[in-house]
Amino acid sequence: MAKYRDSETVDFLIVGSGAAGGVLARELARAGFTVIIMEQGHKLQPQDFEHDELKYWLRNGMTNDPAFSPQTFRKTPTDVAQKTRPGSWNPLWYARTVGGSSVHFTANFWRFHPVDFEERSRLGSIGGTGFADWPISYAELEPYYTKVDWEIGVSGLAGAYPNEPHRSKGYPMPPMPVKSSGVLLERGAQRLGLHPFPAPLAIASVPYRGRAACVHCGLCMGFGCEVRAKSSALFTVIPEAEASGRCELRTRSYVVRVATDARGRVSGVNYFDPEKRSRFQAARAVILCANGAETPRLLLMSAGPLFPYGLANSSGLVGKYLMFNQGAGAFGVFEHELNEYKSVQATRLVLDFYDSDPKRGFYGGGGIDARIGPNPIIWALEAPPGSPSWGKSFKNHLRSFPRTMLASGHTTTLPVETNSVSLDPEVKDAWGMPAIRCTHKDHPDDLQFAGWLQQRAAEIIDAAGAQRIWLEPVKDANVSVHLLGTCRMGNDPQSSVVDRYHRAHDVPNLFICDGSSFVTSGRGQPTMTIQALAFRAAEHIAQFARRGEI
Amino acid sequence: MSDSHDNPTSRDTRRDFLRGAGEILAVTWVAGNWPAIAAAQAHAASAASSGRAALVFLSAADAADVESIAAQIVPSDDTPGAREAGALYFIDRSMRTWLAGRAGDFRAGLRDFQTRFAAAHSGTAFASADDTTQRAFLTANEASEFFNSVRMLTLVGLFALPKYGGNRDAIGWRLIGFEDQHVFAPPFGYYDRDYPGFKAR
Repeated sequence: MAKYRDSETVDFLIVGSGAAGGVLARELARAGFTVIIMEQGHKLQPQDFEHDELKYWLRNGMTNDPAFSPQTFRKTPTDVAQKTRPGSWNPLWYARTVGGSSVHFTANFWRFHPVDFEERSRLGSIGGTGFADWPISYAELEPYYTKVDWEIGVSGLAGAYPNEPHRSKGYPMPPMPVKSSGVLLERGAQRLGLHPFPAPLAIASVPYRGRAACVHCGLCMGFGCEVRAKSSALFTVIPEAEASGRCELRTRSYVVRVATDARGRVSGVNYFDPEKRSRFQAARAVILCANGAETPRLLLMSAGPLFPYGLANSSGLVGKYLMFNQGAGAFGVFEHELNEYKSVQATRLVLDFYDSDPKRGFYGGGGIDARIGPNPIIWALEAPPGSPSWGKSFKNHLRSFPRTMLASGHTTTLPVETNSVSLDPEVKDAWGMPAIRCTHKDHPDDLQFAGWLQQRAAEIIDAAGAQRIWLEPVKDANVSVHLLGTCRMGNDPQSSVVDRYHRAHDVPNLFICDGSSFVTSGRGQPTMTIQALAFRAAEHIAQFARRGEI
Repeated sequence: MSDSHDNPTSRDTRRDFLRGAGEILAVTWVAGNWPAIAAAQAHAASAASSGRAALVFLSAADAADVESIAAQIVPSDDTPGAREAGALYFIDRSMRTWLAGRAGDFRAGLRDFQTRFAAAHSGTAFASADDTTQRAFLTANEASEFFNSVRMLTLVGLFALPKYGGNRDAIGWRLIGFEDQHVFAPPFGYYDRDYPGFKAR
C-alpha cells in the first residue's frame, strides 16, 4: 500500500471506503493517479466478525454508535428533534468500518430498470415532491452494471425474468441454492400468474476471484462475512486499490471539512487522526463517497465566506430530498420446517409490481422477496400484532421460528424536500462537530403503496399454503439503512447538486458519488446502482484529469 | 388504505390474517427504547467467569421477583423456559455492565412494581404468589415500561449467545429449533428438498 505525507498533494482524496469509494479508489489508482481514502472506521478482518446478534443488532458493534456519533430525529421541520438514545440505532444507520455498509449489508443486488431513470417523464409530476428524471438513462448505465456483476461478483440467472432489463452479459456466477422460502414464494407466485425468479446477490455462490463460496452460515444482514463470500468493498475493490501501489487507505481518519482556496476550489481536507489530532491533507481533487447521510453533513460543515450555506450548495438542495425506501412484509408459518436462518436472506424475487400504475390511485412500485427476516432476538421481540407477547401461547409462537418465512416488500420513497439531513443546532459528536439532524416523514403514497404491496406478498404466501400469516405494521420510517438523494444529480445547477458526471456544479474539483447522487429511490436495494454509478464516474473523472479539465 | 384488490381479511379464508394496525414491539420500538450505555463493558467476561447463580446487582428478593416475571414471559412447560435458561442472570449482569446507565431506572421500575403488587395482595411478594395471580397482575401491567424492559431483556438473553448468560445450554435456541453452526449445506428445509430446478414461466 502506498503511503503519503500530509504535505504531499495527492491527485484524489476520497472520503469514505464503502461501496462507491472503494470502486473509485481502485479505478483511479489503477488509472495511474495517486489516491488517499479517508475512512473514519477501523479495518476489520474476517476473523473479527462474530455470530453475535446482540453485539451487532443491539449494541452497534460495527455501526455508527450514538454514544460518539449521535443524531437527532424529527418528523417535520416544526417538530423539535430528539437525540437518539445511547445504544439504540441512529435514524441514518450505517456500518462505520472499512468497506462501509457493504460489509454488513444483505447483498441484494437488483439493477434499476429503465423506468427508474425516466419516471417523471412517464408519469408526470407528483404534488409536494421533487419527483424528477435522472440526467442519465439505463442504457448509459448498463455497461457499468455489467462491470459490477463481474468486477464485484454477483450471482444470479440471466433471462430468468421475462421483463428483465437489457443486459449485455450474463452473471459470472450461478444463483445461490434455493431455500424453502424461495421454493414457496416461487410456488405461490406462479399460482397467481406472477414471474418469480432467482434473486441476484453480491455473494459468491462458487469460488470467485480468489474468494471462497458462501458456506450458508445465515448471517448476512447486519453481519460481516467470515469467509469473504460476500462481495463487499472490504473484500474486493479496497484490497485491489491498495494492491495498485498508488492508493493509501487511511483508517480512523475522520474528515470534518473540505477546505477551499480563495478561488473557490477545493484544496484538501481537514480531518482528525486516530489520536484526535486535527490535520490537513492536500489534494488536487476531492471525491465524497461518505454515504447519503455523512456526505451532505460534510458539505454543510464546510461552509465558508464563498459558500455561506455549505459547500456546493448554491441550489440549497444539499441534504434535501432524503429517501429511504419504504416496504413492509408478510410473515407466514408453514406446516413443515423451512429453517430460514440458514444461508442467504433471499433466493427468489417477484418484480411483477415494479412499475407504478396510475390506476391504483397512488404512486409506487416495488419488489417482493422471500427471506429469513430477522435473526432470533429481533424475531422474538416482534410478536405478531394482536396476539399474545408473553406466556404459554407466546412460547408456542416462538416454536414456529423454523417454520416461518417473511415475504418482504421493498418499495419506493418519493423525494420530498423537507425530508433532509441538516446540522443539529445543539447536539455535537465526540469530536465536537455538529450532529446530523434527520427530518423525515413518508409521503402518503409511500405508505399506501407499501401496504398495497404487502397485501400482494400475503396473497403469494397464502397461495403457497401458509397456515398462519401476519403483517408487519406499515408506518412512517424513522430508521433507515438506505441513505439516498441528498446531493441529487441533474443538469440544472438550480435544481441539483452534482452534474451527470458527479461533479459539483459549484466546485470544479469536487465530485460526489454515493447514495446521495440518486434522483429517485428505486425500489430498494440501492448498492448495485451506487457501484454502477461509481464505475461510470471513475471513467469520466479519469478522462477529465488526463485532459486537464479538473 | 385504499386498495383495488380484495383485502385478504375480507376474504373467506381459513387462515388467520392479522392486520398490523396496533403498535407492537417492532424493530422501531427496539430502536427507540433500547437503553444501553456507550462503552459496552465486559458483560460476556463477567457472565463467563462468575459461573452459575452469582447475583451482582439484584438482591435475592428482587431476583426472585424478576425471575418470576421472566418465567411468566417464557414459561417452563414440557420444555425449559426462561427460568432454566438463566434469563435472571442475564438481566442481573446487564445492570452491572452494558446497561449500567439504566440500572437506576430499572430498580425504580421494580420497586414500583413490587409496591403496587404488595398493596393489591396483602403485602405478599410477586414471587410467592400463585400462577393465576401472577398472570392477572402482569396482564394488567402489560403496557408498563418496566414489564416491557423485563420482557425485552428476557428474550434478548434467551436468544443471544450462551456466553452472555441467558441462553444456558442453548435452551433458547433449542426452544426455537435454531442450530448453532457456522456451516450449512442444502437442502436447508423441507420445501427445498425435492426442488426440481428453476423453470421460467
